[in-house]
Amino acid sequence: MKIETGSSGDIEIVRIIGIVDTTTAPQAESKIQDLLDNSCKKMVIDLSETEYMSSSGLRVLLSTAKKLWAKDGLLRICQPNKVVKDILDTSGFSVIMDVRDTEAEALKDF
Amino acid sequence: MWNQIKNFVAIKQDISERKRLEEISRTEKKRMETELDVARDIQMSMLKKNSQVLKNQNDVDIFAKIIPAREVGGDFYDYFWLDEERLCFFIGDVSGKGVPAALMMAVTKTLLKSAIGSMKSVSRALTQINNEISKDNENYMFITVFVGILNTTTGYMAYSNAGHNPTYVIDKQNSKIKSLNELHGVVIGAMENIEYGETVLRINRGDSIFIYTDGITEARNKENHLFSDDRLVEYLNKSFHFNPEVLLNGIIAEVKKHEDGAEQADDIIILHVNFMEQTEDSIVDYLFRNLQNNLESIQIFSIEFEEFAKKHSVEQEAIQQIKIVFDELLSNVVKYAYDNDENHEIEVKVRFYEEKLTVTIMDDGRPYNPFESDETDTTLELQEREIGGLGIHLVKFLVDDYHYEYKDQIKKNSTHFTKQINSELNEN
Repeated sequence: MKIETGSSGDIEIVRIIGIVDTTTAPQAESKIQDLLDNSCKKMVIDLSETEYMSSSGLRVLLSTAKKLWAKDGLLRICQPNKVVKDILDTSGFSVIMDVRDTEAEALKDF
Repeated sequence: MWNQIKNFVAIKQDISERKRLEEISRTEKKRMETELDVARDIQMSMLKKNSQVLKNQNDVDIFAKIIPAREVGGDFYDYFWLDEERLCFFIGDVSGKGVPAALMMAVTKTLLKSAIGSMKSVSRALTQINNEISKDNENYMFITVFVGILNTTTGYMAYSNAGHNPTYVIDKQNSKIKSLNELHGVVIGAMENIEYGETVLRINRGDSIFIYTDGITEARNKENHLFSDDRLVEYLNKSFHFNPEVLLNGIIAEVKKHEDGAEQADDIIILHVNFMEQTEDSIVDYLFRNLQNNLESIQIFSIEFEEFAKKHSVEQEAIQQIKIVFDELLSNVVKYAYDNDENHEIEVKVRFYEEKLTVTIMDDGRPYNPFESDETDTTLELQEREIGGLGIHLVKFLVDDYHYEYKDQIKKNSTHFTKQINSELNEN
């Protein structure tokens, strides 16, 4: 797994490339934590290149959302593939999180 | 003169009486023969034919031999698949002969098959049918039974013996005959409320399980000498390398030679179950790995699994889904199953057959049924969400079928799932 970060205005963009499972999730979490520590309030997690994620990946998404929320911030997720989309749906995450089809959509009116 | 006539009448009456008795005896004999035919018909219609070869997934080769005695008894056997990987087989012998034995045999065989089909446990099936049969057993008939379930994925056989002759395992690799001597309870039908036990044994590919009724070992010659266990074991020891048909015919020939013209007193059934060696073709259908209880080991396995699945043209999406399932189940074991830091082995068996993937994971951690853990409430608001429990929810969503059992005998958790796969090749 690899993480690429970028930004668009005051929005931090996190691109997760590869697999998020029990082994790789802690790395993803610590990368994201670094951004959260730097007063980031708006974040887009781009899953377009995420092969799949297990529940450890979902936990990272959830804890990120909670941390942002705690400081009046927001998280958007975008472009999950079919496998990840199914996982988000069945876990109910699609309902409680803001999931967008494309990165452009995720950045709009944020 | 009168005297003479009186005598004549007496003789005549005597002859009539004898004729009447002869007639009765003829009728009786005829009736008995009909009864024996009925009994034999009942028995034979319940049993599979003499020599049948059963092949499933290149796994098991079964050969059976039945030789009923003239006065038919109540021997029976059967074999059938519980699911795509577990084969059940049993053999039994009802005490007594004739119609009552044949009827009891029919009842027992039916009850046993249905009990195993629903409970999938040899010990619990015997416990249940024993209670049923003992309850109304006014004729005091009883039945000896040997029943086994061979898991062809793991190679473990669970078996239970209720007063039956010892079964033999022919260990081809080491040229050894192993006798399964333990009894797990008294004969079926003797007494209610008996808990039958079971033993689990690892059967290697190439090994055979040899089960029989006492028609063999108790075959007598005119001097009343038994064929005996010793002769049977001696024969198996020198002939185990023959193919099943030759082996079984050879035993029958030995028994006949021993009887030396004396009538066969009891039914004979022999069941030979060969857990087949894998051929080149079938090896690629399996992926068996012993993993260490650490995350690196899981990652390596995940890569190996992907290669294996790709060879079978499993589409990428399904591969990813199954890798998620492996991550959930295996990381659970690594993180929570052990109290200490010692090294443990986690056995993973994957098989691919007819568009279906079957997986068994065995670990020696503390008994834990992952599927019983509380379902995550996926309708809760974000703030209320607990982190945890999600993994099993995903597993249940991603597979078609799952079950868990704790194997007491070997002290292992056994977690099992299957998933229907539509390979890319078949979609075209």
